[in-house]
Amino acid sequence: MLLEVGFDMIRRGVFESPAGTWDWSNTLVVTLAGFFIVFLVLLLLIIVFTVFGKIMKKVNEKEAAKKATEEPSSPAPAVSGEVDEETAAVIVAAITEARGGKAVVIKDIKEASK
Amino acid sequence: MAQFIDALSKLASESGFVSFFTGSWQNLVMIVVACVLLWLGIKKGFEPLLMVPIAFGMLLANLPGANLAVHYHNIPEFIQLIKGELIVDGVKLEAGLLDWLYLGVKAGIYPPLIFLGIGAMTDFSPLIARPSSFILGAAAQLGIFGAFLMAMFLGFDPQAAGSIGIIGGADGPTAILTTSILKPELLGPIAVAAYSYMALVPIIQPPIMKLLTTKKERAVVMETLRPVSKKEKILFPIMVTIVVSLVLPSAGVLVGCLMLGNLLKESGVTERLSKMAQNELCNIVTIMLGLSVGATTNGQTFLTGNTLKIVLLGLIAFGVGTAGGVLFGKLMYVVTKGKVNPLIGSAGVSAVPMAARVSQKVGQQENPSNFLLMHAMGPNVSGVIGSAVAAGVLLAMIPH
Repeated sequence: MLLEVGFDMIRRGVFESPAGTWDWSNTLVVTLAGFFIVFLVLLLLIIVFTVFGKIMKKVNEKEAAKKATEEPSSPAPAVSGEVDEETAAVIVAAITEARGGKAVVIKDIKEASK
Repeated sequence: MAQFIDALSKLASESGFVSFFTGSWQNLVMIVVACVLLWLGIKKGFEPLLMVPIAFGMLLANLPGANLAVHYHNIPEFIQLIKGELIVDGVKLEAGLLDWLYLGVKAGIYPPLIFLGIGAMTDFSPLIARPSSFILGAAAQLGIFGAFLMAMFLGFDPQAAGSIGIIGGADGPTAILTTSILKPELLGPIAVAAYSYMALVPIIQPPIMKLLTTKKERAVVMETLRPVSKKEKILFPIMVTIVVSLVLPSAGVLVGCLMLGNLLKESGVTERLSKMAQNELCNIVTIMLGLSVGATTNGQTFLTGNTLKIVLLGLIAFGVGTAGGVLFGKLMYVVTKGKVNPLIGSAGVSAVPMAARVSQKVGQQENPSNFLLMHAMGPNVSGVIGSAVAAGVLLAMIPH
């Protein structure tokens, strides 16, 4: 807003001179001040986003730490450890029967392999 | 039989062919120019999405007797035209399709809508990860003000000089918006110059980049950019809009639309709107913009010494912009003690992603394992914001 008011003042005071003509001082003002203003606006964006980046870095670190602490409380897996032989035998029998075969449950695999 | 011959000769005398020999030879030349531009766009790939509609609009506008050219330069004239009160050279003009389409240019509607589509296609992550890239986007706008100064030296009025200077921003919609407000009579040559030079970026930039940098500087490998979170990508467009529009309200329309498009993309909840903005909206507006801008180019205003000066100044603007970006890149190289490759400075001109690819290519010529593309995208997208800000400054400082 301040810059816009400044531009209006420059335009009225410098460009709308009593003679009503544009001279070289006007040209230099537009060239130098114009480039300077573009520079200034983008410099302001650098400052804003550098600070923003630092704030977000802390926010991201906090969120990452929070996620890391939440992991141990996640539910235990449905199956832990190996399946025992008797259970495996029942499963195989069920699959065989489902496929249309005759199910034979071998309770003792070691005995069956003899 | 005599009546038949009379009818035929009347038809012949009113045909466009005869008009070429009875005062409209400039239209014939413009038709040839339009065909050359179509060839450049289609065969050589010179920014075809806009070059083809602009060239075809130029072709339509210069067909004698077809009355397809745009007939007004401001809104009061348009109102006269639609009321049937606009008379030029004793001829009462009627509003045609291209007159209505041109209203979107004159009212400043099409360029912001194209910026909306561009924002939806742009990834600002490299800029968020390295905010110092903004300075390279600013430095590259030196071409705009350099060309403005030179145009004043060459005798152009301030409005024309501002319109010519904006070519240096390497941003078509920005150039069209600025010119349509400051000097609409020059819209045709400026649009053609702007899009032609954008396509020539891979030819114009490398010699300047090599001239201003050493082999050691060009071979610098930059550190990988930090990852950017979704939250940052969502907050970025909102913050840029607020900061830029509060400081420079005249830049608000372009920057605001650019950032709205980006927010539609990054928010994740407006995917439909984002896709529409990137595709249907952008494509429809591109056709209407290109066609109506091309239709403003008539032989009487295009085939003048001023057009040659505009073409030359456009080249100077691009060159000075590239040099400004590279020189600031060198400054950053010194300040960061060799961590920034100066070549990324040339990407500060707004030709996305062409200028970033040029930085990558020139960098790889020195060091084939150097991947500068993502590092150069930061200054490249910053240049889009920079050129919109520069346009806002010109519109605020030059009376119109």
